[in-house]
Amino acid sequence: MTTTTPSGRVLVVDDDRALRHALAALLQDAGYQTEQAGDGPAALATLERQPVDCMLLDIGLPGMSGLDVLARARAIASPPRVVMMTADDTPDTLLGSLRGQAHAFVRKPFPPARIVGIVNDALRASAAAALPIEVVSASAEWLELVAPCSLEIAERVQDFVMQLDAKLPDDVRESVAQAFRELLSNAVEWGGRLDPTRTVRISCLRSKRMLLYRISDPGDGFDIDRLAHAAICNADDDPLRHDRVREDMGLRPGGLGLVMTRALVDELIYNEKRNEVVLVKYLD
Amino acid sequence: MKITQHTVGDVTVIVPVGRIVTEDGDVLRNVVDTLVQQGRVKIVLDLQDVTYIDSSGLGLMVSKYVSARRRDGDVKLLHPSARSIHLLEITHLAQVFDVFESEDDAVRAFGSSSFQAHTV
Repeated sequence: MTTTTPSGRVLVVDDDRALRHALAALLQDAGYQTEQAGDGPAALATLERQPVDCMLLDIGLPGMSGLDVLARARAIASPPRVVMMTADDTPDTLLGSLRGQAHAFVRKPFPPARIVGIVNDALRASAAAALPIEVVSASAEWLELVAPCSLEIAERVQDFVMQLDAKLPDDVRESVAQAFRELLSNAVEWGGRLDPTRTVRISCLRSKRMLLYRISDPGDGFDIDRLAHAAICNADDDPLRHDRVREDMGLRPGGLGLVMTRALVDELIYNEKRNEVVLVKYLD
Repeated sequence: MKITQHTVGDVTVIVPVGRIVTEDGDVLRNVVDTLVQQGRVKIVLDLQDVTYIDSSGLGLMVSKYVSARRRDGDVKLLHPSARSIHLLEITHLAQVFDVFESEDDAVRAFGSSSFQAHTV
């Protein structure tokens, strides 16, 4: 088993004293140094005194809200990676957190032990993961983002977007989440070549009867007739053909994203160049 | 991702914890590659504590299956979630991997004629 001891300073900001202490204790046990604050001004004073690597920030603080603290924290010289926490399940807090460039968002209640993994992920992410995501539209019905081409950014985006769909039935939510992740990963990896100076545009539209996601990447598109290395071109009785082709071409294992995505959603539509894709999932 | 492993006779049971995805695949890849290089090619992959598999993770499992099969071994799956089984079905990989709900059954299957079930 591979284990590493985490290091770094984490500021826990919550007016719930018991939860704050419990989270801090768990993080200390995991190897982190911790600071605690019960409200926004105390949190900002702590940040001004000494930078921290990660801040766990409750949104529903008395007086100054967590979203205000997030905005102020972003303005300091070495801003921490911020994980927002809230019991509010309306889209507004999630969208506000996204607009404020929070690194991640977690809904309460959550098993306290989960927090160590969340902080590990936030601090392990590369510098590219902290690049800003441009928020073009942030309504629950129409979310539109422009994001750098990085797998870690894609993961951040997916995490936020899928929490907007938290009330969908599990099977629908999981299918859409998996399809969206596959397409977004393809867009940043093959379309954007994992170059964080290039961007993908992501639109997520929600109507009463369907979800529609559109992803536009900066690449040249692809020719589906030249995808012998993808499982979408396999014969039904030869499910490993693409793997042999990939090995011959010196490609890493993979090639299953398209065939998987096509089966998970109701419609998958590409533009002519195939550098833009729309996926649709009907809800009735 | 964290991985533990134990052996039952000449079968190695690998137990990954976490996600099998693009970003975390190297750990599993390295563990299986080491086993195969050592000739320990009878492998059970216990998915009990795997929370998510993406297409890259599935591709990695295919690749390791192929390399084990080429050395007269196999990779069998244990305790896949309903979600994982669905992914195997829609990618037609359900006809490739042997799937088990009991470690005993998975290990015992290496002694049967299941080796001849697939061609690579």
